[in-house]
Amino acid sequence: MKKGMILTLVCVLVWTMLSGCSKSNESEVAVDQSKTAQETDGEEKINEYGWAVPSKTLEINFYAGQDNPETVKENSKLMQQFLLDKFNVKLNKIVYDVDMNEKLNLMLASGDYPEVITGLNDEQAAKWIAQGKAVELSQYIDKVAPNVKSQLGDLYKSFLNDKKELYALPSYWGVLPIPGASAHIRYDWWKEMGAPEFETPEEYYQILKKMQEAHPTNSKGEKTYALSGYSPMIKNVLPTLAGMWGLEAGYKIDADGTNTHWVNTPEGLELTKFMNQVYRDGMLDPDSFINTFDDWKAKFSAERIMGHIGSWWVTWNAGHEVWQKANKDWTDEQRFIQVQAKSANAESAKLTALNARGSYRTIITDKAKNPEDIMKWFNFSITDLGTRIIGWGVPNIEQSVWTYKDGKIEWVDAMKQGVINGTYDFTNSDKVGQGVFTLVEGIGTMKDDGKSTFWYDQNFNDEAEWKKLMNENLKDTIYDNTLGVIQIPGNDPLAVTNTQIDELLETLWAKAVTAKTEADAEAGFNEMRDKLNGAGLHDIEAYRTKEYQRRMKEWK
Amino acid sequence: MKKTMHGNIPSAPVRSAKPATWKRTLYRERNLWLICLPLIAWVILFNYVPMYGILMAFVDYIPGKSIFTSDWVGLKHFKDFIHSPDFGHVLRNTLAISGLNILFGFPAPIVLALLLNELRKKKFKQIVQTISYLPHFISWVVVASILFTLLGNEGILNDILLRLGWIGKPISFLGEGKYFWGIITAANIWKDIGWSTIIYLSAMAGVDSEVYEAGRVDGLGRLGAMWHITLPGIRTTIVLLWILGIGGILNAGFEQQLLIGNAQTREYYEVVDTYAYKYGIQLGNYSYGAAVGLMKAVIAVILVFSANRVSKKVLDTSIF
Repeated sequence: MKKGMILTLVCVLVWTMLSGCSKSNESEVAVDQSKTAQETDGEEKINEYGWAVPSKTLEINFYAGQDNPETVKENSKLMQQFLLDKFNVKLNKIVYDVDMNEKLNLMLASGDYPEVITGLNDEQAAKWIAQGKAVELSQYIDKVAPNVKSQLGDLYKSFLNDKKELYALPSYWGVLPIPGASAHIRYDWWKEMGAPEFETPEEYYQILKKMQEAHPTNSKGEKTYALSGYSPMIKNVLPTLAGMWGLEAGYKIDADGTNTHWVNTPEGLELTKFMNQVYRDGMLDPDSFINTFDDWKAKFSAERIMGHIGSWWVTWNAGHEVWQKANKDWTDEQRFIQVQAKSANAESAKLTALNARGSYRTIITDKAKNPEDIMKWFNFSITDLGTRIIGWGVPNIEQSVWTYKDGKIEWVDAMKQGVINGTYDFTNSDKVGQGVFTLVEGIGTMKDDGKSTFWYDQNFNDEAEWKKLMNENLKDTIYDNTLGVIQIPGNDPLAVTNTQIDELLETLWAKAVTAKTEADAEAGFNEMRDKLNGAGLHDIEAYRTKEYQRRMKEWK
Repeated sequence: MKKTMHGNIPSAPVRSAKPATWKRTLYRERNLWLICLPLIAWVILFNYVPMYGILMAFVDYIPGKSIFTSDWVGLKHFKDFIHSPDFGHVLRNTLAISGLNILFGFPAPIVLALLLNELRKKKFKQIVQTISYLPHFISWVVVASILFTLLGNEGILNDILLRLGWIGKPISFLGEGKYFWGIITAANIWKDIGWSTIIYLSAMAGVDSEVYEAGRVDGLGRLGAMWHITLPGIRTTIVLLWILGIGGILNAGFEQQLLIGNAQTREYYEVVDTYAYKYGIQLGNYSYGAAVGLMKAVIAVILVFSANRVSKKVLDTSIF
């Protein structure tokens, strides 16, 4: 009896221990490789979009970074079915609600990853390439993917390495010359003031200040501010603010390609003093460096902020797009408009940095059984028509924003008018799968008609009153920053230095901006500059300068 | 006549006992060892085998490559950490936050347990105890949002102070580094004070009630009994937890720092664990993160041994 009890106990303990060692359920990540990228043997027919439909379904699983898996699944449905029905291509987008960098490292360490990965930055792509996990693609370009080369044009060579090998393709590449960042001002209240003109950041601020005096509290009695922001301020506000002083994405770039970080420039001190003045006047939301985007949006949509400095869309998203749903009496002029401000000392304001190479990369991994078939899909989807399908969503159905019949492309007028009038419901874009399967598509102006673009709502800028106003206000603030988008590879010791500097910068700039006197702000700025330089900022500048000069020589 | 377990039965002449060898001991205790075997295997498998990963701190590990084929760099990552601009304030914050936790957080549950032990009404005592345990089950995410509601620029505390006219404009309690250590210590104590009383209350329950009666006869009041009977009665428990607490002095927290801290308070909230997470896991610099973590573990082991030695000498109580 006693022995039996002991034996039972031991068995139970062993079983519970071993059950913990069982293979975990990784069905979400695991991909049945036998079903992926199958060979397209047999008869192929050309469909109405010009795609040679494979006799066997071409299935491509791709990891696309951090997102809500349920939302992505829902938004993929219609587009996935459309591609399957018309193209016999099944795209499976894999996302996790986990930091992309962490997930990528885990994938590398575990060897468990799909055949395509997209949404990588240069640094992440470099890591996969260095590990031998990315397939060399130039071998397929002439054979099955000539469109990739012709669509990318001069950019193509910038993706080749020293050995002329191609491992990563861009997504969201190309130049769309429309503004992306600016100063913002509450339009109806500005008109109430007689729409006073302004040119410099100081004049812009004085108007915001007067506007705040006229609206010191919102309808709930909560205090209002001239400006606010959300964390990290050095990424969300500073580049646009520095652009008002003529700096390019936070750097002063000389004609010879020398890069100088804004903290090492006199402009940096000026813009810090400007923000400090706003703070000392009690006009800067004291939570600016703490707010998350949602915190900021809550304050903004509660009409507590008079202006903003940063991306154009945020004041639409947190402003009239909220008010028009919540307020029956909302009028069209209750909105923020995008305006420019330029320091008197700057030659021009540089608010929108364009990057023709795009910031995201797509690789085919060594898990792909037939990379050639995947390249065939890239070859189609990178064309203007392929880009339209991926960018604008499923055509010819009830929710479609466009139709494609007999080779003719037309907008659905009701949807178009919605965009023009500002009443378009963007959840419809999600439903028809706009952008959900982006892998190598560009966002620049399309070659075939010279005007269409991947972003559906940006196709009617000349007809949409407020977009047109924005474009006119900001047309000379856009600049090409393709050479200046430089990332330090993760295995370079400078990557750690760079992160340390970013963190120090946010902390020390917050300290300087929130100083109690101008002298303290200046002292704080000097302390920040010295600390950052001591931490290796000059090394970062030297790295950027070297890379920038190399690009000047080789890419032009 | 020899007294045995079976009563007053005359015993047989006793044969001299065989010397206990480890084999005999093992055989005699075979049933116990059999039960322990899976657990020992578990500890070896999951606690000791993975420790080969410590090697990562001495190589330039790249995800996807084996640790054993990575380039050996010796103490490079340790040196990098020590020479990094963050080392000074990371170490300072870790020691300060942990020190404050030990200074205030260690005696707090003892005091609360002593007070709870004095409650005579059983029902009331149970209710108070249960309520005091509740904060332990509240996640740091919720605690952080409570703190923002209480201490934010537009929080309840600032509102009260403004209404009373004691301040002219809101104090940025969560945006100024000088308040951070106090806030995090108070939050830690609030969250765990009740839960930590459990072990002291159970130790107090083990103190012989006759000793209290004897004390009462000798004229001890309630405070006197606390000081002369209860506290000495739980001394071993206090020392044990103190030694373990010293070992965890570099465990200054993790979630609470990430949730309550922000860019403005970074110079005061960054501790070893958050630093290792940011520069190790998030940047994919696992070797660097492992080196920072290993350094912390080594210091913790040294501290445990030192505290144990001091305790042994001074209080004649130790854990090993």
